[in-house]
Amino acid sequence: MIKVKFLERPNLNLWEKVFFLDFINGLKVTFKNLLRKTITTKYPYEKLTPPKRFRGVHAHRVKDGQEPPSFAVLGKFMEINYDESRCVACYMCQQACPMPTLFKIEAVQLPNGKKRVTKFEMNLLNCLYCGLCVDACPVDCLIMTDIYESANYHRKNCVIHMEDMSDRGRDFDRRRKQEKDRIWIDDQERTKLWGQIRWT
Amino acid sequence: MSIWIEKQKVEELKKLFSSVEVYEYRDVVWVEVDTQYIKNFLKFLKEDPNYSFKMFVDFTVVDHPLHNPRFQAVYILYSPDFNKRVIVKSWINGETHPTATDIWKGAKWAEREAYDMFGIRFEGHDNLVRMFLWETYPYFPLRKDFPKEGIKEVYLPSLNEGENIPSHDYDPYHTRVPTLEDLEITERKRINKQNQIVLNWGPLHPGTHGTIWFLFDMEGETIKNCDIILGQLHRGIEKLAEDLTYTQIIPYTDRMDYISAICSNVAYVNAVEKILDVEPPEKAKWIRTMMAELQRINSHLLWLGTTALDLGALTMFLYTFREREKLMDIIEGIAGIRLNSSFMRIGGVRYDLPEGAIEVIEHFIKDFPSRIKDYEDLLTKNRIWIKRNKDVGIVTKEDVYQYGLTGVMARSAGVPYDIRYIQPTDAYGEVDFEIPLGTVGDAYDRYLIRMEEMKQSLNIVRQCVDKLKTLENDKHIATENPYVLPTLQETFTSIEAMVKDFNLRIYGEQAPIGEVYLSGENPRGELGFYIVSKGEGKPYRLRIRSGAFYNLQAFPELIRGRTVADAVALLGSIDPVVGETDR
Amino acid sequence: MEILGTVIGVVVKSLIFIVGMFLAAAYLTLIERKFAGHVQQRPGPLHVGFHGLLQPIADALKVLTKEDIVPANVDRVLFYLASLLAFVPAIMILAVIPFGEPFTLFGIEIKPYITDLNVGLILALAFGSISIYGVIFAGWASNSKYPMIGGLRKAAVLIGYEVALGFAMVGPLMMAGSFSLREIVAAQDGFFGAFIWYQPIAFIVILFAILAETGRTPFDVQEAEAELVSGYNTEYSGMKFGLFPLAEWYIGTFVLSAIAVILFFGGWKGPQIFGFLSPFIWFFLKVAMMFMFFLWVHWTLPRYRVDQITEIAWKVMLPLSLLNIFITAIIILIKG
Repeated sequence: MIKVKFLERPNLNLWEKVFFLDFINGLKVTFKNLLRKTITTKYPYEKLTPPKRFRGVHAHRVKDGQEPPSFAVLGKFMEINYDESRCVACYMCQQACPMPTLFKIEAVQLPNGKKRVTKFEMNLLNCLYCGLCVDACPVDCLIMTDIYESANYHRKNCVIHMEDMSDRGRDFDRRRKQEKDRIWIDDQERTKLWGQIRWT
Repeated sequence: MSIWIEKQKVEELKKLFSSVEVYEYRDVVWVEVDTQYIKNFLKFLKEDPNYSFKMFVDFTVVDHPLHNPRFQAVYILYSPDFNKRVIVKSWINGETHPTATDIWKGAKWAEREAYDMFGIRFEGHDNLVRMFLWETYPYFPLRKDFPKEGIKEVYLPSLNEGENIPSHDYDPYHTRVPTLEDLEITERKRINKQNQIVLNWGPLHPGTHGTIWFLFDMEGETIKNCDIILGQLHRGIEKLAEDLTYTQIIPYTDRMDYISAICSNVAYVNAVEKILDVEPPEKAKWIRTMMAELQRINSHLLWLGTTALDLGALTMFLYTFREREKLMDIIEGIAGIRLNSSFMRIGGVRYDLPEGAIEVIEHFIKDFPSRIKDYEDLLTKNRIWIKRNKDVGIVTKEDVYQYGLTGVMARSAGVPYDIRYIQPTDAYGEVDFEIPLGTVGDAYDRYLIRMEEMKQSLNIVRQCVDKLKTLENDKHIATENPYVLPTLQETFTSIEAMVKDFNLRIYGEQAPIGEVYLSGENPRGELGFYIVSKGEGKPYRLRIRSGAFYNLQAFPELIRGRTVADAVALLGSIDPVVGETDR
Repeated sequence: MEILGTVIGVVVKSLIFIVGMFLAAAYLTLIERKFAGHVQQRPGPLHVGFHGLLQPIADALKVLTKEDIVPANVDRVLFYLASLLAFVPAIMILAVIPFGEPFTLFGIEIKPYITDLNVGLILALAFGSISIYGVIFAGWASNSKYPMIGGLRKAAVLIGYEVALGFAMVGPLMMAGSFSLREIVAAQDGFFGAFIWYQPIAFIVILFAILAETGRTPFDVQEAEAELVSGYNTEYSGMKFGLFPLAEWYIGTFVLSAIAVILFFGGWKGPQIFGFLSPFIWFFLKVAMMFMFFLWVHWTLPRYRVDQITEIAWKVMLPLSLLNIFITAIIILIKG
């Protein structure tokens, strides 16, 4: 059953018309807001940290002993040292990507029969930041961090490499690994915009 | 009850038309008619009181290169009297087809698009020119023999990087780009100067909300004639989709209507779930409904701010953005990105709600009504606002059916066309809300409707929050289904999930052979996805029925005889988003 | 010798007035930006100087050093003339505006006005009308469609409201019995002697007219951004562009506010609580209140369509101001 509601069109009565009550109403609203506190963030001087789920510049988690069980299966054939990117060159991120050409992943066979990732490049100029590659990574290696200032003067600086991705991953884990999966990082930063909210 | 017409009722048509074939997939019903009868058949469907498919929903073409004849025309119609839909198809003889513009005016742009993309000529169409591409463009890109990456024929080297190749996927060759002469030819084909001046309003103009190019043929300030050149934001999502798996298309749907990404996601994901026959868990449904409604408020707030800005109320813009920022915060915290959130997945949603989400939304629900009151105090009864909006762009019921106007445009004319009611998906069948309807059909009615819709959406969000509190421990994605990608946690711990994940990533969701049309109520109108599957992991053809595209089509008719100032008010009240009109 | 003294006095005063007006206009932009900012819950200029106090100077330097582009196919003479024609008459109105009664400081009698004409108000109106040409010339000389439309819109608005403004001023003039602005002030005695209590209709008409003359929001059709990009000054850049908003939004509003204060709020009259400065302080306080009121309206209301504006001018404002004259005349007749 469709519930419909025909909307009434308000009309100004003579009283409102002569004494400009409609204008006065509007002026009241702007005056009320004039007295309120400002809510802006002074951006370059003052930065907000996005929530943990934020999808910023990509990073690699490193081998630090906290790998998921799947790493034992896939990492068996890999030559990965401690504190190195745990990428196993499964190419799943590239498969999942709607724009696969932005990845360039290369791995070589070592004499001992194991494989080693030699190149992992992403051209972020083509990236949609959709997070499908993160969902596809079976060893919890590729993640997205909270870094959002990725503008650059040269196109070649927009390509990220394995080394700086590992660095970023280490940094991100150090800062935020222990954080709970919450909608905001902390209350203080948003109090300005939202006013006081009581958390459970 | 299905929205598609019953099969028996269509079978009866066989008595009248000799060559009618009826097919069905899930509950979608389509009729195939011989080319020579197609026009009479459509006319009959429109005029016969037993069928009365008065409303034009969509027209498109599907290319089957191995079939003879090669192209198939597809009409999607809606009967407001019976609340039924039907798809009518007919093969196209060679490359010419009779036009449907004399039956429905709304077919005009759709046929131009078909000409643009497939090179089909429509006999009797009054101005068959390119829709998105420029007039001198030599190819027809949606044909199957056009390569998916385009024909790279223009050498466009980087000017400052010289020989240094910036990245591994850099290519100095580019697909064709229009020159100034090309644009001039395009412009001349659209409009003939008959009056004092032709004003180029756009493509880059503060009033056009994106890159739409309006041509106004003006006498003084009165617009005597108008045409619109679209395509500045045309990215060919329909073509791109033919090379992507169903999951990979989700981020592209974000970029269509970028102001209400979640609504587009939901509409698309529902269509895919229908063709794959996936049932999302209950929690996912409620999360989707809640997010879509939050996004609707978000989108309406942006509309309110920019329209008020266009009509001179500068402060309104910042007030609405203040509230929009809060919604953006909520969406960012839940989905990860503020604008192009890609939060939906086939079979559910990407993540469960994070800690604190419900509290924040509840706070918003509590806070928002007082803000709406501020907006209404500023505008609703303001005599200037009333004067600027009243009687601008009046649409009638007949216009709605003729042009296939949907969303707020249809509701302002008093047509209760709301997909959330006539074809409820997700949790819309279970929530309680009202459809606001206008009585006159002008821009002021559309303003009132959008204000009321925000309140109704808030009401829906409240119901969703209440329901989600009871569903706290449910699953958010139906990973037990073979078509649904496992969550990261499952991939990490189970080898079966990992194999399934690899399979779905590499081969895509192998949908059964069939086709569906399913739409969602976008803030801009009906956003429909017509998916043809041939049993591969990617869609054979994905047609996007954009609400804003059809709504914008009525613009030249509505603006005739009015001034430029009214064009701003009217365009604001239609509220097109170029990402969606151009796709 | 006396003539020489007068000439020097006038020149010095003119210089003070012009330089002062420039500075005042620059800081009026800051006031407007701060006001608009806080109305919209943002702080406005903040980083140049303490809370943006040096922002106007930075802006002025920026505008002056900006590349001044003159499009190739403009009518050069008119193009240059237009920005001057908009600016100079606006500042010339200052010649007839008194800021107080003559007073003696260090034994010198100082007259805080350049000249006290007995047709001061008419001269002010006449100068105001000249600035229309600036706008029309700018629209025409730009040889472009949007400025053309903007210029014609502004001309239509101005012609309508000049008439209403002129007739609305007749009411207070009749009560004062003089065109001299000083005498009009002198005619208003005490708090309840201000003409606002006797001429409310004229005051409302003049409020609307000032908004229209200075192109503030309900009537800013000439540069309606969403329709005409920037209206008549679309093709201008650099200081030539800067003069338009300066003349219109700031000097224009300031000068017209001052006239309105003189006509309705008793000019510089007020309790003598600030010593010999109190006339100035009262005057500027009243003008600032008027100015803030215009800002407040500007940042609140939407804008009319151009035909609606002219309709209001001819069908509402003009009859209202005529009615006002009629009523005032009858009352004066009865009271004798």
